[in-house]
Amino acid sequence: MDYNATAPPLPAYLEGISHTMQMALGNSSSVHHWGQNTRRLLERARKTLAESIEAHPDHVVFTSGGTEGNNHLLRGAPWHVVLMDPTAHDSAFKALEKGEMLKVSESGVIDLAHLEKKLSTCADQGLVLISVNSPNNETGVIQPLEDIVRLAHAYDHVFVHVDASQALGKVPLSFSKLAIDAMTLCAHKMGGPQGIGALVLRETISLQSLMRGGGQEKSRRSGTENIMAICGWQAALENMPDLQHLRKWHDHLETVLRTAAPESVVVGGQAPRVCNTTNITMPGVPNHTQVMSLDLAGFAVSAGSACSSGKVSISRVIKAMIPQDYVAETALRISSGWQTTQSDLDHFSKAWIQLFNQTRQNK
Amino acid sequence: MSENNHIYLDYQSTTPCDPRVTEKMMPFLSEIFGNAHSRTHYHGWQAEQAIEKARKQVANIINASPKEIIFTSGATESNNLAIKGVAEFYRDKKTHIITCKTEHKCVLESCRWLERNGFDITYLDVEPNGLVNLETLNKAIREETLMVSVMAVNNEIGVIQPLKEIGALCRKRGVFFHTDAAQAVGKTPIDVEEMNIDLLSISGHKLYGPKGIGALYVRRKPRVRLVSQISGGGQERGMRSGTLSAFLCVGLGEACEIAQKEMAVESAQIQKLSDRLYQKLKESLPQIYLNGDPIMRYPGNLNISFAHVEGEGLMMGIKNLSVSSGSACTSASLEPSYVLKALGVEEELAHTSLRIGIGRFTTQEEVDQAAEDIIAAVTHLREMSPLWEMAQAGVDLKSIQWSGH
Repeated sequence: MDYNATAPPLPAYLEGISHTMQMALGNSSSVHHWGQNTRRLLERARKTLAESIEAHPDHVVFTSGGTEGNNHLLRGAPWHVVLMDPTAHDSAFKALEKGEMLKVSESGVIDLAHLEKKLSTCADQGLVLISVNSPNNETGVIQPLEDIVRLAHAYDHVFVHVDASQALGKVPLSFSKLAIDAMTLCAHKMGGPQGIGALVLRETISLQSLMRGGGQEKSRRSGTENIMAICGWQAALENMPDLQHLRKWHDHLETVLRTAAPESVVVGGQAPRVCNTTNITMPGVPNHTQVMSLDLAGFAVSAGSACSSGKVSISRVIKAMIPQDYVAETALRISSGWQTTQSDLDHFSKAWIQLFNQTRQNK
Repeated sequence: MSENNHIYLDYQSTTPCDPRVTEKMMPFLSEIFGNAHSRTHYHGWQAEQAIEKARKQVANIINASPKEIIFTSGATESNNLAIKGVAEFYRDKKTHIITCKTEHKCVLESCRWLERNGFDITYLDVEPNGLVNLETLNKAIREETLMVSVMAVNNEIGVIQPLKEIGALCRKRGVFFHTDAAQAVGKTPIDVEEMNIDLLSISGHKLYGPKGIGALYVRRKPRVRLVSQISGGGQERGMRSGTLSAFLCVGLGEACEIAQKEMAVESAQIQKLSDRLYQKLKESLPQIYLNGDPIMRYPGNLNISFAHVEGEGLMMGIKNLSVSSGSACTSASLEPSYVLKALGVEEELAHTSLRIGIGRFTTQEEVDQAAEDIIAAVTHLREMSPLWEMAQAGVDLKSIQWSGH
């Protein structure tokens, strides 16, 4: 139950990529037979991806994943001011040394009044970027993108970036309707291949390629395109299962856990959230104890983002929402996906409750 | 490799993924993640084991330690990271970098970016045979020189630079030596110890591995440090963030292992085919010129200029041969190659040059067919060319005063 770290591959993706792997592929920049065949596959996949988020194919720049996409945008343009979501993923949060922090409410939603005030002081300082993470990888919180875009676009040089690495297949996203300026996408979070992602980008942002070279991707990202993974991703996009039923299951899970432990807190519980993520505290039980015990019981869950797992540190994301240490220290992320069944979640809640009662008795 | 009468002769732009490599990759697409959740951790561990095995396979082929290998998305990223990352780390101490005019675009573009950000770059000329002159290089090194970046095997003309000599010189003068070895690893022996290489870039899809994966070797003793260009979760010992793609890493590792095992036999085979093709062309066609040193070259690259034919006409005449007129990145443009220009090849000749790539899957029949087709096309074009007629009659074309209209 750690789909937000990486989702198991969709059968369609496996089929798609296996098929592509059997083909003799050229370099999509070559003008000959093999090059052009590969180019066709590449552009077809670009179109599929663009359609899935209602963007123009020209807006899609393929990258090696979400981390590169975020770094690319944040480092690739001469931003004068970057207004950063404090609940951003490390790949955005750490991409820049300078960056002014936005505020979030206790439920993890960007404080719009604070954003508006910030904008009024910095909008005349040159190129300004607002970078938000939605849905949040740790809490599932969805940001009010329409409002953020509206506030931003009241000014000429303020752009909005959404790290939507967790979005595909879970929340409807329209790049054009939302009028977002840049968006990061990632394939393996939706059951596609690891090693591929995209940065979707309007022409109004002129990006200096972070990777300089042959000028592929219309000079926005050099390097020969990763055609196998791109075709695998396309197949996954074309066969994305509906995941909205997960919402009911997660709601139920949260009710059951909170009935058993009335003091537990659902992090981001008051905010709009994605259908597959629950982040909940187990009062009095450190999350590393929870991770280990539940792992022994057969459940892979996570205390925070996967990148920093290994050493369990306290979640910066949760701290930004709720400053009291005990919340971040006892919070656990349960994220589900296309292979999760209702009985998986039922079994999980039993194990969670059992662990909670045990530790309570021991005290 | 052939398909619908097309013959693939463009092994420098990309090599097809070896079926033995794809076979090893397959399980890492499905089995590793595809099972019950209760086993996710076991499988996560398995994926990590596989990646570490791949790291070892990559290290082995260049005689490095696995700890010195960083996985990247390809040679473009590796070259950017090596050049910009090292420059950024040491910029307070040294701000001069030496490279050469015939480097791959991603090296030149990284250098140009540094130039705009306060660095001083020397773009060395090469000799007419494409090789770096060691004396010129020695003279170019100054007190503030941080790094020398010279590619191992040139992507357009196939020449092999004197890596051991350059490495020894760099070590003696106390500067880092980076080499873009995208076209070299798996094709010609590389030993980072013997050659004193400090940083080395590898590409998966140039050695029969998958696209979207590469590696950078970063020496640990004496230690080379760099600033990561992609930050985040701090993977790859903080030098390159981002979730590693197990199946791509496994593919690169396997490709390296196969190449290391088979390099000697394969080179001999490619040399034979290359010699055969060049002989056939030379026997039938006067005034053709091999670009780049005839000896210090990777035999799988034949870059040949055909005098007195029209470049586009030639490409049209051999449509069934998938060859290139230069590097793939720039192949859509009609600009003559900057590499050939750096060698001093005249523009007319540069326009009529073909890069013919011979590789692991090239057969003798394909080479014979290619020779036949090229000879027919060139002969045909020359028969129609007044310039060829004049040249045959002994007129020095350069002496002609062309009148304007």
